Amino acid sequence: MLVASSPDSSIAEPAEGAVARPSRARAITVLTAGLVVAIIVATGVGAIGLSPGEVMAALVRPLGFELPWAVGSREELIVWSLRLPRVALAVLVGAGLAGAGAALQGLVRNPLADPGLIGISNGAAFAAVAFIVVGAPLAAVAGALAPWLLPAAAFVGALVASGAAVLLARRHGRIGPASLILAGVGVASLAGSGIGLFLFVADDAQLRSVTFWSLGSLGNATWPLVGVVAGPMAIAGLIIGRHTADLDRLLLGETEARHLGVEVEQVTRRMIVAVALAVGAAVAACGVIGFVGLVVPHLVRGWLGPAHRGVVPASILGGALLMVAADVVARTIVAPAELPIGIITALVGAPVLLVVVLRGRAEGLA
Amino acid sequence: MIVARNVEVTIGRARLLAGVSLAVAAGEIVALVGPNGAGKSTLLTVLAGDRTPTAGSVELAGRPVSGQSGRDLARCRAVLPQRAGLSAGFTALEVVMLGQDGGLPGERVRAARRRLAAVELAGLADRAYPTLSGGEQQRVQLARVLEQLGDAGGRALFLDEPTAALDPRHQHLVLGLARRAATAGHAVVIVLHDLNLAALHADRIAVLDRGQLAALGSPREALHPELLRDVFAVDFDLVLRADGTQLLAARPSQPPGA
Repeated sequence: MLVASSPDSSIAEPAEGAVARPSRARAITVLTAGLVVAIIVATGVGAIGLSPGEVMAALVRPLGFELPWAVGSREELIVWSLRLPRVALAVLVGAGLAGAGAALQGLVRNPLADPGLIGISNGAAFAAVAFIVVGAPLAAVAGALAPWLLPAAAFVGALVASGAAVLLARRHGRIGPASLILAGVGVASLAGSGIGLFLFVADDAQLRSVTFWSLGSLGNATWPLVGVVAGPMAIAGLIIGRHTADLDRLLLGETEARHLGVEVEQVTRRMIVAVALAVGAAVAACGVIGFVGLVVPHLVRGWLGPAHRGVVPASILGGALLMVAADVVARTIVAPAELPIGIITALVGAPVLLVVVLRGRAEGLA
Repeated sequence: MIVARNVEVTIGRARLLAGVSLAVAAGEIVALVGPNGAGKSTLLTVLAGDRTPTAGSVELAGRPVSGQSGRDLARCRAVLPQRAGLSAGFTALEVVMLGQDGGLPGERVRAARRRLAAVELAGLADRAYPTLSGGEQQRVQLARVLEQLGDAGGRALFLDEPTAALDPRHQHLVLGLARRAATAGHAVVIVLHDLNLAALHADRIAVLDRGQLAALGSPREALHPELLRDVFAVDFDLVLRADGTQLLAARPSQPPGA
């Protein structure tokens, strides 16, 4: 029997090995919905538990709206003053770390590029540890500004370290991905040995505060801190968002991107500034939190494909979601004590990364 | 369209190109041939604006190449490099769409599919690029470059060994597409190793030898066996086909099996 083959390829069976991608709009809708649910649930979890309904009622109460759940000024205080700043900081830091990771991995065309790789995290950590160990006299003279000195030191450390990596990586005015990674690793290990030196001379109390800081915590969250962190995160997001098409073309190779009209040097500089702003602000606010910037973009890429128009916003939402969830675990699993959040993200992130890599399903950049 | 005057490129003490002048008109295909290291790819990168010559000048569409922004250059020329190192999991269709500059999403997809059909890869549009064979990847890259170039004419197309990974049928397909680009009004420069392919498909042939133009002219003028022997350091036999066109075959310096 003869079967007529259709000349119209649009109704033919998809070719073998065809890649099916979920639509970008759908993925972003799903992640946004998930993030909203996570924020409401996370705000309700704590020493005094609140149902999602009570959380929503307490959220809208200052605006003059009434929901069917009865809440008083006590619930409103818990939600707005205690829980929400911390959840908001988790959203900002998770979004910033994952968005920066997505941009950096695209820029250096390496799926294993972590924001820590170009020296940012260690530079911030070095400045913070130096401040904890020898900065006490400064805090005494700073008065009301004293609580801001540690984050400020960490932020400056992040910018100096990434700046040093970029200067070392420059050759003939160009910053190649390989030399950027090498210079970053060099700066990171130099900062790492500096941290070791300070730890050697630190006393017990200083060591505890260094340990806690280097594993990350959202415990310092206040509305003013959220406000200060939001600035650099927003700037970084705008910079990265403007260059998603350039990042796609860079995946073809630097020469090919240049042929397509990408101003490679300019894009490289801007991406590094954006990554340093976002990661510097994150580390300054809550210490070193690993794996978010590495794992989230990797998972998103396996799901949506490598185009940055989808990868960047989905990573931002996914990073926020992961961080909110990880913080709930961090503050409940050993309550009333609190686990450093960096331990949770590493515990979740490392196995997920291993599974993804081993199954070879992440059609990432490798 | 493309005008190069007395182009010279030196790196350290090595002189890669010396006094090369070449003009390629819109609608014309010029093939660059020559032995390894003769400066073919270097000349291509200079013409395409990737490399600033040590001396001399290059103009594309009446404007000097040096000093133009990457964006402006991208609107007046497209380049197919020797190998593209892309390993990201784009589909073939998505790679082709990277060559586009704006447009409505639906129309962009349709245009990219047409372009893939032109390189005979319509069926592989949704396959991940890294899973394609070398020859298929090369044709996807060509489709991307042609998508950047567009069909309106008046631009320059540079192809660096576009047939290297291709079987004979697709070698002719790709060079046929270069001819279509020329007919549409683009100026085309192709680096080729196969002298017979160059003779069949190019209007003029530039023979490069140690950084200098050894010959420039129609295939019959430029591919003269005596000149070729000097340039390539190997003897060539000239075979006449029944239709009067000629074939060149390099003769081994020692007979096989000797």
